[in-house]
Amino acid sequence: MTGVVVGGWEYVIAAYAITFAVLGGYGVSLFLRLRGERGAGDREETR
Amino acid sequence: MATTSNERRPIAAYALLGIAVVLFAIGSYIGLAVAPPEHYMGDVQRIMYVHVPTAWVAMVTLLCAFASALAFLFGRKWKWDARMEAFIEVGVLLSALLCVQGSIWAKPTWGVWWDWDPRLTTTAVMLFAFIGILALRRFVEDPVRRATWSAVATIVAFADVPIVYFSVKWWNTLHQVQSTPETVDGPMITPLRINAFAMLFLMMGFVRLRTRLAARRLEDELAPPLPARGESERLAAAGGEA
Repeated sequence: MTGVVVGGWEYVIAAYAITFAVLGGYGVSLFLRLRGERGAGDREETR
Repeated sequence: MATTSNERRPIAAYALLGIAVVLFAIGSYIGLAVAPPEHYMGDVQRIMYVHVPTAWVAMVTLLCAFASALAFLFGRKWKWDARMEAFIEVGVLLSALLCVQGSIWAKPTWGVWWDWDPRLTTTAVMLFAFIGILALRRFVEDPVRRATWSAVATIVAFADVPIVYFSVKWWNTLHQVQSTPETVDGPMITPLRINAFAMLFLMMGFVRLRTRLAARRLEDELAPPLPARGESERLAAAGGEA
């Protein structure tokens, strides 16, 4: 045992992939929710 | 009909998100490919370039939620309620992400995914406290009660945030002390700073978009109810406005 961590790229890749997937997914969900709200607002106005 | 600022396209929010994506690309490239591996943790330490910015910005976001709660209680303006909701939701997202990233870093360095040490425990308390406030906002229908109760709950829950920050100084924990320019080596500071600004711009963009959603719902809830169909036709026939 040297106390030095060897390798571990799979953990690095997992951390970055989860981070960007979660942030990207939340951004897309916000965009879709806003678009849905805007569409609902437009339909209310034309009614 | 003139459009209100809430109906215009959120150009500023999209610009902030665009800047964040560019900064993340640069910061992550430097962190993954240019910065040297750490002496003891090796390449696993590269998780720091996303974990630490997430921690910093999560705390800043919850601080802004706290400030919005105070502003609502003292100013009684609905815009602060909408902002508080946005800051809490984005803060919860970042806090949850923080716990996941920390677990992934803990496994190869500590040998466990999770440990009930003071830093991790206080972070988990912070996360679940703010999830509770989001649940409260979901279940209370009256907007006045919802805003007041959740503002008070936010102030109470925020008491844990400084405890999270100082936990590594106050107690003997498994978690390392805060990463600052004094505790991080020179070549590692650049990607850390770039990703920190990327996360900050991303948070600001998300909060602007989420605030619009919250404000839209408040407008619907606070608008006077429309008259029934028969009533509006009778008013129109009489020359009145429905």
